[in-house]
Amino acid sequence: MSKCRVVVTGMGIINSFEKDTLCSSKEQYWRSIAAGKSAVAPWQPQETEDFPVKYAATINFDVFKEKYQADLLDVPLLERRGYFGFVSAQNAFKDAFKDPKLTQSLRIGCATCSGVPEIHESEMVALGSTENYPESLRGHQANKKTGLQHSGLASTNDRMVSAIAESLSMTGPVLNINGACAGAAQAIGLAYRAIQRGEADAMLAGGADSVSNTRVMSGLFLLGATATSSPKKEALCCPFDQGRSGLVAGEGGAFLVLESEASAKARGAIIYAEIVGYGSSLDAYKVTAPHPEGKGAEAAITAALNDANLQPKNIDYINAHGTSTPMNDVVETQSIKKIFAESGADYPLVSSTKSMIGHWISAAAAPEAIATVLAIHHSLVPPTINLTTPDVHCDLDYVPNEARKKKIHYALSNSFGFGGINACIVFGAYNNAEK
Amino acid sequence: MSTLLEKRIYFKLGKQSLPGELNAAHLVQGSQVTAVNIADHQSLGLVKKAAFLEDTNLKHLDVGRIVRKTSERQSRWVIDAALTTWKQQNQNADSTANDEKDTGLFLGLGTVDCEDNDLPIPFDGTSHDYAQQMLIEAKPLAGLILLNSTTASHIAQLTNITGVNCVFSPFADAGAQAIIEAFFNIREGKCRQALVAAGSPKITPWYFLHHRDFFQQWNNYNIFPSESAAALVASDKPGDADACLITVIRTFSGSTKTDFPMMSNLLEGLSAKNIVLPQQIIYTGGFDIGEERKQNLTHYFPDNNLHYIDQLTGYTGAAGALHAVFFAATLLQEKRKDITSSTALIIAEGFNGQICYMVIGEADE
Repeated sequence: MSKCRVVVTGMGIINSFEKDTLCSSKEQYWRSIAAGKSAVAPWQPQETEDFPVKYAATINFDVFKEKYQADLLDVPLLERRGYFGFVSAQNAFKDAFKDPKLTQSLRIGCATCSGVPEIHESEMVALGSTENYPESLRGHQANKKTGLQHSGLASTNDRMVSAIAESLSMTGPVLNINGACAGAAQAIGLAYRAIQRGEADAMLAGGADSVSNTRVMSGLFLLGATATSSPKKEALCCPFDQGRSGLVAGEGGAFLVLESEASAKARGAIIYAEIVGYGSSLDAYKVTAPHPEGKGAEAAITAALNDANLQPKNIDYINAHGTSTPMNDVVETQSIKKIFAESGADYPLVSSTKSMIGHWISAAAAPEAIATVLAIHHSLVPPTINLTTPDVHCDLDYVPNEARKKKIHYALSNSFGFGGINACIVFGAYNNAEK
Repeated sequence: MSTLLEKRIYFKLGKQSLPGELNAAHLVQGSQVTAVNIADHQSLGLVKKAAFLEDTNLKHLDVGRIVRKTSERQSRWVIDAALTTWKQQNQNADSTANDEKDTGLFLGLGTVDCEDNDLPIPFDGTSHDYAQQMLIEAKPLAGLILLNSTTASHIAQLTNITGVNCVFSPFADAGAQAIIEAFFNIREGKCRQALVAAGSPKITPWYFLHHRDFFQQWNNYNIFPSESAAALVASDKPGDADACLITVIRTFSGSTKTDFPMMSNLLEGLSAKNIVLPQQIIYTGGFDIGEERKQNLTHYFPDNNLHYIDQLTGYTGAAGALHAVFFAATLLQEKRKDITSSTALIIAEGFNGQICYMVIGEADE
């Protein structure tokens, strides 16, 4: 069975740049990361003092709700991240399909991801004892109109994807994936495959996440994954730098519209780039640490390259997982070097978008996929910021602090999740010529 | 475009864990899982009964301490089913079939809403106190326990499976999505075989909080949620398989659920390949489909026998799709006189409108 080509025809993103105005768009996102801006700022959980995690790249939720009031009018109760995802998915859809009538004859689906369920701390403390719980819950439900429903009601894993699918009257596959920090990469990968094999004409694919609540941030802190205090302050997120000490959380929503080439061409769509390969793997090592030799990462990169029928030498740029954690950045560097050295290829440029927007956890791959697509589209590699003194074990060209012009034919986007769940996507500049 | 594929994928059924140690043969004979009374403050007043599965410490499978410390009940049930199934498969299979790089892992799981102790739903204090308590009393590895994908990490570590993978959640369609991804990945040469497993969520007040809307719609039924897990191995080789998967379709109906979208596409595909129309229809994801949809099904499948597997097992979420495969395989193997078709259709439906169709055939079909 011949597989169809899959292209990117739309993108939407809600991000934490420009906190006071929240002018979130793919253009604004690109301007920010191309200029090497940081969205990281001081942060503490609501009404809490002395929480050990002190910096994050978060969205002003009040500004968000006000700005997108109209879009959220008929949306069911969702988690904080769900709202980011819902709006970014709608924006991606509008970017791809300027005229909604164009979608009526298309079979469209959605693939996204979810992380740890979110419960607001303010609600946790209001609920009282277990015996009184049903009454407390009913009290929260009674206040439905004022938005005081218990957030636990919204934290079923598929709430966001089904709200998106329902709002757009989808008839294609609708998938919710749990893939740790590789969740959105798996969502994009599975959406790509669904179109390739003819299950859908187009798929909205991406994710949204937020860990800016006590419950989940405590979990990340106790795992030793987060950067806590450092003289670096807002520059705390510094992938590949010797001063890195852990991830800095970010939040937002990002979606891409993937479409069969035939469908995109038939309606004269703008094609930003093409997806040409996807691969996933498991470390099968330990849930608490990546494989020290990066075998899982290597397997995912190799699988994606094989799927794309490309050699390492074809890759001009890698959008790294680049978490700013001591382990990941070294292991990822080793894996890249091994694959490229073994094939005799020059090392490609590598950069970490997380240095600017923080780590969106389960959704991380979604803004990074958009960054990769726009890097191809604009022939410009966004930088790794806060990289002043590279770790001796991190010795690739990470495009430190300033974007660099570069014609990109093919780019790889890496995602290596907690517990050794890995997924890589190969994007390519779209070439109209038949393959 | 139909996703009907030339190549069939074969299932070797593995371990199925249901309360009371019921198996597929019992269910085919009409036995029902026994549910026990549940207090209102546990079920939030949504159901009167529930069926619970015993916890497992996984020691009988030589599973180490870290896995036990970084998993909760629903994860351990799935690990138990998957690992037992994988060990059985390795005992039976020839050595060439077991290259872990060529093996995929696909899971369907519920929402992991809390640790084993079901806390912290109640908390008496301020937000500041809550944050301090979380930092002191939460398990150091709580972040991993609350990640659904940790179950996949554990199974991978314990089986050395390193190939293609994905975890879906949270409703009945999620188990079917896992089976369907295994089907496609084997068919497309991304792996030669796949371990597929699914589990229900553990039943706690959190569970009812998440499933409030689901259970509220069944007020007039004698319904109950149930804890369960199951696993199977899918491969491209018939060997000593128990059943095969002939074709699949995934679609979305939205919350209206008045019809079964894409069913005519499924029928067209079957007809084009001269595949006998399924007579047995096994539905999971709810307790009844309603009169209108029953009529629709009769229009598509005039002589169908509709089986509501959730009425027998209790509502088991993502595990329901695997229980349906076990049920279908057992039903077809029985070769009863009233069963004239060698295929069965499984409909696995998510609460929010995700629908998966899977046409199951006999292994030697």
